[in-house]
Amino acid sequence: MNKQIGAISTYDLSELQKLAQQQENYYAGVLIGLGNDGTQSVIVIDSNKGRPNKFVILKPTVAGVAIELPNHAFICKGTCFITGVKQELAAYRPQ
Amino acid sequence: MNYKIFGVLGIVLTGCAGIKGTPSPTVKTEDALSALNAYLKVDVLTKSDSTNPKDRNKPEQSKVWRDTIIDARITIADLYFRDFTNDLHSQGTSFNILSDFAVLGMSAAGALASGGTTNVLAAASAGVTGARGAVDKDIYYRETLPGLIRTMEANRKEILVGIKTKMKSHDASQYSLGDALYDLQRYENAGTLNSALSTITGKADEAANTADETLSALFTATIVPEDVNDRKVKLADYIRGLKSNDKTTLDKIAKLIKIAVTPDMETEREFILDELNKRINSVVTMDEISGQLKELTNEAF
Repeated sequence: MNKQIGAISTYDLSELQKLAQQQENYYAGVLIGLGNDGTQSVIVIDSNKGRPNKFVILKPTVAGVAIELPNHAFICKGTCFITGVKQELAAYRPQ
Repeated sequence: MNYKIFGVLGIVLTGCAGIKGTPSPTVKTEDALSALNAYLKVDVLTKSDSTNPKDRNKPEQSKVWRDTIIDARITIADLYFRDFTNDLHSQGTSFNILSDFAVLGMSAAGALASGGTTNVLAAASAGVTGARGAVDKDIYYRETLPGLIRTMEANRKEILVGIKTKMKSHDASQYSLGDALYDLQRYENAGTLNSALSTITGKADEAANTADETLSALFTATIVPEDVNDRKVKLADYIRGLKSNDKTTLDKIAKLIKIAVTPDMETEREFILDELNKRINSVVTMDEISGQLKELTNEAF
């Protein structure tokens, strides 16, 4: 089951990442989507996939491109609020 | 589009003046209005808040009363909407109503650059502005009206799903009759041409942003300290670990945190997990929930 969970728009990047990790842990699921509803960030957790061995990490995209991170698998990208400003982020899973 | 074929069809249909586009309804709107009259009066809210259950006709609980009012009003709204769309279909070939659409803002609606209906809207609007008589009525009737009705139906359905979800998962203190009446007003408004046109024009105005704003959060979660998070995860794992023979325990937890008990265990489990996730946002709320659950589960969270 997919859970769309809101996160306040004033979180900085590390706070949003922390929230995403805590939600993966709580729902024993994996992050599959990032975005916003116009007023806050929204993360999407698939709670049927089981708790991941390593939690998600978030990085800003560069000119709309999710940069390649060594030993990380790209998951998705989407526009979230970071300290109140919309910013495109990419989500990765350490391997 | 082959206008010659539609032209011929138009002539043929004009000759069939006695044909109706819809069957006779099994329930007439006026009969339903009469039967459900008690639930349509303006004093339902006062009765809902009354400490005397007899004010609600029967000694019913607030939730039962709330749900009865909601169901009655949804039924009536649906019957009115059915009558309205039937009327629209029957008036569909009348040029007056079609030109009214144009006044309501066809040009803006046509700015949305996707879908056959909107292209027709733009083309038709230009036709109305330039030379009213030149508008092809078949285009409106066959393309525009069904598109507007679909938009109204989609808007109504979205609100209805929200109402039904809240009815199922919230008691009368969490989703009050006042809140429900507000949602029901939105439900009725969603079944109007103005609402449908606003949706279409709104999409056009916000086309650049919609791609990122299609998500809708269940609730807003909060970061908690690591030790609280560990306890929260332990509690979630406990809830997930309850087997089918533990339905009674799950029901007790649902009642304890004041959410609706549902026959389907998985649905109930999901509601409980969401509610606990929403509520536990600090060490204080964690301690509170943990204390409440301890007697029930013999577990320390």
